Amino acid sequence: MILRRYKTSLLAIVGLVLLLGYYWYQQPLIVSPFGFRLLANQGTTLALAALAQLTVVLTGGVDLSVGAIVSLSNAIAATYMGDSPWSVFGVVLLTLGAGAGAGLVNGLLVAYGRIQPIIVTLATLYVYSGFALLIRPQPGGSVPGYYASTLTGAWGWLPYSLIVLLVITLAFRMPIMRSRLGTAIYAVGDNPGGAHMSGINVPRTLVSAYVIGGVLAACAGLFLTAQTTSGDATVGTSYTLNSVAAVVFGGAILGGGRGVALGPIVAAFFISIIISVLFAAGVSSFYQSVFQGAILILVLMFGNAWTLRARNRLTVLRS
Amino acid sequence: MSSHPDPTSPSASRASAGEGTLLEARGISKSFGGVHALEDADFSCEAGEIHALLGANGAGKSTLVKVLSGVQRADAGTIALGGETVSFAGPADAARHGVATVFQELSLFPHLTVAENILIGHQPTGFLGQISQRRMRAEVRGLFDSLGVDHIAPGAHVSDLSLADRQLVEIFKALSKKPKLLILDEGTSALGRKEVQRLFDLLRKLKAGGTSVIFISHRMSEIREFVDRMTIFRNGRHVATVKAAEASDGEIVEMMLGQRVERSFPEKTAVETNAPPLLELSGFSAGSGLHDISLSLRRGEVLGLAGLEGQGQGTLLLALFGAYRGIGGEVTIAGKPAKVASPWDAKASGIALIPEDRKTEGLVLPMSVRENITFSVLGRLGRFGFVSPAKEKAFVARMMERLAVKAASMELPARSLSGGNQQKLVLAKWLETGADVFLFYDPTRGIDVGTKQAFYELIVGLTREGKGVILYSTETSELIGLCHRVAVMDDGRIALTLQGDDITEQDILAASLGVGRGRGEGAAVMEAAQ
Repeated sequence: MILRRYKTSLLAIVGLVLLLGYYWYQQPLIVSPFGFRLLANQGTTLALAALAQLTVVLTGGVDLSVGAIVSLSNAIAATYMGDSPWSVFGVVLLTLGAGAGAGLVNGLLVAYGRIQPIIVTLATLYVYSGFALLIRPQPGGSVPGYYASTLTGAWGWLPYSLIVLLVITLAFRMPIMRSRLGTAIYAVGDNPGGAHMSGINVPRTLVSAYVIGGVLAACAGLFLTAQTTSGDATVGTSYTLNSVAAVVFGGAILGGGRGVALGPIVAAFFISIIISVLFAAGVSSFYQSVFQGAILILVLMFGNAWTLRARNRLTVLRS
Repeated sequence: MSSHPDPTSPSASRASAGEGTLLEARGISKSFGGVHALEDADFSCEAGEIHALLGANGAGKSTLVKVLSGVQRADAGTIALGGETVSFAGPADAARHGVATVFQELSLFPHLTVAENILIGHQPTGFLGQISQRRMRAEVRGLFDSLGVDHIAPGAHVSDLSLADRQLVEIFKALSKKPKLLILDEGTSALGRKEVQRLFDLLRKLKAGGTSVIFISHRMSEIREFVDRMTIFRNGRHVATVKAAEASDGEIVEMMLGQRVERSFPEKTAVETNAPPLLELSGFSAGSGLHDISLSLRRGEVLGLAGLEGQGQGTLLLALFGAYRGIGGEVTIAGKPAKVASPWDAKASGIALIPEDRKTEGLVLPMSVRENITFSVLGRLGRFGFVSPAKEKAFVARMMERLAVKAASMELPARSLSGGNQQKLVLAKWLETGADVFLFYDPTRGIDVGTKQAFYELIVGLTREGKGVILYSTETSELIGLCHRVAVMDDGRIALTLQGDDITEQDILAASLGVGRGRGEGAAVMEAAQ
């Protein structure tokens, strides 16, 4: 039963293991406390963004504003954080609140405005990017050193970033997804009409999913700030589409209703690390994005070949 | 709230005595875009009775159910539950008032587990609001045990269940809310004989516990024996409410249709026995579901597929239509080898399939009647890849007339049509593709008597044009009334083929069960086959 639940994550796991194996062969130094820390930090921001995206995708929507919320969080954190532990704490809360607010607006527009998610979040992508630019017109700002090292440091072989990711996944997202709300999110994505007929409050479920997504995107922004230790209103741009890629690669279905956290997290690491691997393999930087895209397509094709082996094709089309 | 009758009292007499009315709907009207689905309709149901709601296509049964269950608001009229006037804000509100409904369109979540589906919205939770999977499965298992269902695992995914089991899950989903009134809208349409019997037993137990059941089904002969009263609707109005034992099938059909209609089958087309076969299969197989099928079909012939549910009848039709991979054996059509590796190959070879689930496999529900009809012939309705609107409209109008499709406009979404009319669209799509072999997968499931009759005429009409038909039906009377030969399937093989006068209910059943009848040709052939 448990295996079945995580079966959709298998492709991403196999992909990451092979990629890391090849990386190790190219660059033996990555198997070291320092290398582990580097790898973990490299993937955590996208992993959090992918969790944000996954929560929305499960309802059958998509959140194009994830990258803008990452940028906005980064701008807020790097601009206002200050040095004292109390101001750091306050600004972290403020940033998370901003993420929740951004998600709330997305959710209200989708659920009650009856506008398609892709258009709502495309519009708010511009709005939130605008806010980020207002807060931080030029790159700059700073965060205290202890803030950065607490999130990106390591204890021997154990990078703190993995602990952060684990805590957010297991202590924040998982309890929600295992509650009635979580089941409702899956149900709404799986069969919205049926969800309504079953007495689920569909609009409230949608709003909740976007709020959770907004908070997780803000978490991604906060971690990114620890990594870069400065603010930049455009730093999050790449996370929008990469988070969608990670979610799909991680076994979730864009139509909604299916997907677990493990796959997208692993896929996020795959996507984040691949650039470094291509660099280590000596691929010219001109070809790196070509290779990056081609590898993603190949991996996904390999994964689909698996499902297409099903005998009755109607079941494939239906699923 | 707790007006449950004493379960020891004979509920049949209680129901007819007129005391303890649970539900009373008066003067209900509802119209959609100028069409009256319900007009000043009355309906009442006693506590602890099983009440059948009958009516032809468009009689307003489904609309009444939607109003009673809070899915739609009536334009006029009142609903009283246990003497109190109620107005439901939605299905959840209706459920809180003790009205739970199993809808025609299944409201299940294929990728959640059986237990999650059944308890959705009221799962048992721990102190942090986390759902306890263990308690949830235990609760569902308890629910299953109490009503004698032991073949569905609470942890299984609904997408892995058969249509019949999905319907059972849907029913349990309604039951999990412990309703005072359970409404089943076409609750048995996907169930085989055994499952229907199981459902009836289950409903009798509920009734004994004081629950009322409103039951909508087209299988009149099956439901008569277990319902207390029947209400007949016609054209959005209440026609009559009768005790089940007091009206004959003929009378009820008459009330449903407003005129006397004998359920009779059109005369079978004479088949030239010496003519070369239209379709021939030899050693046809598909994976583990179908083995070594050899059969032939002549022009003008209807070949029936019978047997217990799930013995490969459906697989055979789908495999012939190219929906399966890994098929083996030979298929020839009109003497030439035919390729059926995919549905488009099958279509090119002249095979048409009227599939099991018209809602997902037969139609694109949100698209218009026009678009649904012309999908398979678009290439012919224009030039250079463009569709000529005039030709398309003319074509659609012709098909709608030929099949007597009832729709106010060809631009209406297919979703808005009744089940019988939807099924006609599926057939319309294939009629002029030049197909010679028509495969029907239980085509009259969930459609009313009048439309069934029209379908029989259509099937026989196809054979008169020289087409060949393979018909899988769960209604034995259809096989007897329409088929020249009936192949009884067992475990993916053809166990026996019955012909002519041997096609009787007894022979089909005996062959399905693999037992001899000790009389007639059927038994002899079967012995020879063993």
